[in-house]
Amino acid sequence: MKSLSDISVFLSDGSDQQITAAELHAKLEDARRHVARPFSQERMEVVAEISRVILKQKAQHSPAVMHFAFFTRAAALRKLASDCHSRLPAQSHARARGLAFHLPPQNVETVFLYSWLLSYLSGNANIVRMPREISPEMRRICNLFIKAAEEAGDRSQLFVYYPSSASDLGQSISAISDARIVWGGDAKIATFASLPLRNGGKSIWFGDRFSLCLLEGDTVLKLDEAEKKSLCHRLFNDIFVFDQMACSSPQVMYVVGNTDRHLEAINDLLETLGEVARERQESPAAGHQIAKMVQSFSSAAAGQSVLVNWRDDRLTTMLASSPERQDHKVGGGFMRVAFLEALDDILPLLKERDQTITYVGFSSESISSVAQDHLGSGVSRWVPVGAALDFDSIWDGYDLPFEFTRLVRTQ
Amino acid sequence: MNDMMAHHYERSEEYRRVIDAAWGGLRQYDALSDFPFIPVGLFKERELSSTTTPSMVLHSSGTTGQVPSSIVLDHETSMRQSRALVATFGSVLGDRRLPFLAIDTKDVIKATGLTARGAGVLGMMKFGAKATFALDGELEIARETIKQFVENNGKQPFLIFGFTYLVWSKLYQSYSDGELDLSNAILVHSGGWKKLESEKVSNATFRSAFEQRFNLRNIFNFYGFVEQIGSIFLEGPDGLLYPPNFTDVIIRRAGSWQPAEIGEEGVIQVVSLLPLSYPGHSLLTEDKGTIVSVDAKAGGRYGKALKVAGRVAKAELRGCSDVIAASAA
Repeated sequence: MKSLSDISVFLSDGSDQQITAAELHAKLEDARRHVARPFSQERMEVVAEISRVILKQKAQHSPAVMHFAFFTRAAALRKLASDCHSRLPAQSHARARGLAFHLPPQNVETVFLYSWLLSYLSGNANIVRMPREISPEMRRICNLFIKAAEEAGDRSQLFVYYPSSASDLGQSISAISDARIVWGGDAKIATFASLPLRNGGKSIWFGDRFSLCLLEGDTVLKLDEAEKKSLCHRLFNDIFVFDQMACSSPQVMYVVGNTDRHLEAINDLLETLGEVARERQESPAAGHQIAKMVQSFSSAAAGQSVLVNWRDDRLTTMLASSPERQDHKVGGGFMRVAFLEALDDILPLLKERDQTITYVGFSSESISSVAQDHLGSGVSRWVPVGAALDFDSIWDGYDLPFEFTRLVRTQ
Repeated sequence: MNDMMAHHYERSEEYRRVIDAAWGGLRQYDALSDFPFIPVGLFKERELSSTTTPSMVLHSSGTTGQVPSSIVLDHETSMRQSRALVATFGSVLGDRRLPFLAIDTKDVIKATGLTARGAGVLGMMKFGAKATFALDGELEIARETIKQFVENNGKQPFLIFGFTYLVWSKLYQSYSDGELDLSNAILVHSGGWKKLESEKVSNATFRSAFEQRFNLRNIFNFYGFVEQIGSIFLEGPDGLLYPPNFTDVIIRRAGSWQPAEIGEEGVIQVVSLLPLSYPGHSLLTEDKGTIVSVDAKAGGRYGKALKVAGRVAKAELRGCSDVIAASAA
């Protein structure tokens, strides 16, 4: 039997309130009845005000939180609202779905903010099952929202934690939710797939994904020192933040060009990237350095890599013997490098689970054109290097504000 | 060692590719610390072979459930390993096969999915006779079995072998002081101190505790691993671990992987002249250690004296792929 302490509700002062499952269900039934108009003035103002607070405290915040603050500036919210509005079919009105149940990943902790935010702006009541551990910074931001909702008399937003052992909660919360957003991992998705939502509500899944990076060889060749350094800082953000384990963190680098002409410049770029990583982050645990050594040596033994640079503790790189896909998700600074003759050659290599392709040296027109030529499944984002982890309201193929609402037709 | 390098480079295509891709190809090396090494974990990923006549592939994992290592053995390498073990243990056990009490269950040596613990017990059984297992299937102490064994064999030298933690938690902690006389026993144990350190039991505590409880003074800890069977570092009278003649140890600094100073803790690399059938002659382990002294001649021992400090730190990587939360439905 569950004890009182199984469910913790986050309060705005940073403390937790312990409640029973019955109390939680009563709160959720109540919350469901308090939905708002999508992109309502009140909710937009709550979010924009918190963005202003975060931007003012700039120095105290991590880059991930700063991105969130930019994403939620008043002007950005107005643009998001008008974009969503203009996408509505004629004679249609968007309405909140009701109660949305969010299951963010345990470890990429900014995800829950976006997942919740877009559903909140869409007018929904929300319950977020928080990760077991979140950083003090994240908790402070969470508190700002809880406080703002409290002050507005809005009881429809709940941030809770309950342990995995309380497994029937996932089932009972699902049963009263109108939408459910599951982030992270095929195994987690499989667990939730069998748990029905209220009246067959909307399920949104974010499973395991793999991401790639595309470099135009001649562009790398022509970089001066300052440009090279700047590119390496952007590559660092893509690769090293979240230990290269976010779904959109690139794991392989495809260079359009050839080894004779470009290998030296690419090696030089990777060396600089290693230096940038040394400036910006601690040496990884010895065990992880050895794990990277094992995977790269194994790839060499199999004949899949012809050159392995394992001596840089931050970044292990392998030069692939062919552009064929050999996917590694080792993380913590592990990059496979392969060469392609032309940009189009990436297309037959793409796979169903590919998510983000970051690029440098190609025009947005040529990227748009190659993206349009890709008819198969996989790949939902093509963005410039440096933006791999920048969250977007259209993610993994879902237009999230659209998914978080239902359409009402009037004729 | 240059001959060993050439031997494996010529016979193992996979090893050759590793040396070419990660070490810039084969050359002549002057200093021992210049020789290429490969991480032991590679044997979990690939079955590396330098022999055309393999006699068996040893599959062994650290603990049940881990990915096992695959070690390719042929007749010659097996013989070399056996002779090496005889030479090492002969120095403390003598020439005769002593009655053998394993502080483990007989299930540990089952044929499939052998763990490092099982491989250790199996290896030591060659030095003993009348093998007796002191633990039952649930790893609980079989008091009656032990009583019988000591009654029958306790008047003469006999051998006790087990995993360090089991020897402590099952044998030591199951008896009170003076309850059992093991004064004729030679206790050989291995497997690491991590669990015992968390209980604040050092090697010195361990030794004096066994002396007080069982009047047991002949105690030999050793360090070894399945990827390099035969290269056993045996405890000397100073409590430090000494490699056999055909084996050497280098401590490397994580990150730069340059050799560390004497007295400086780092990652242990073990170099051995034994393995011919698989390229295990120069391995970077996942263990931390320190070379405490060189040629200090404690108890007449030469060479490097090693102190092992457990496994290197693992990284807990973040990520959206959420294995932990999978059970959180």
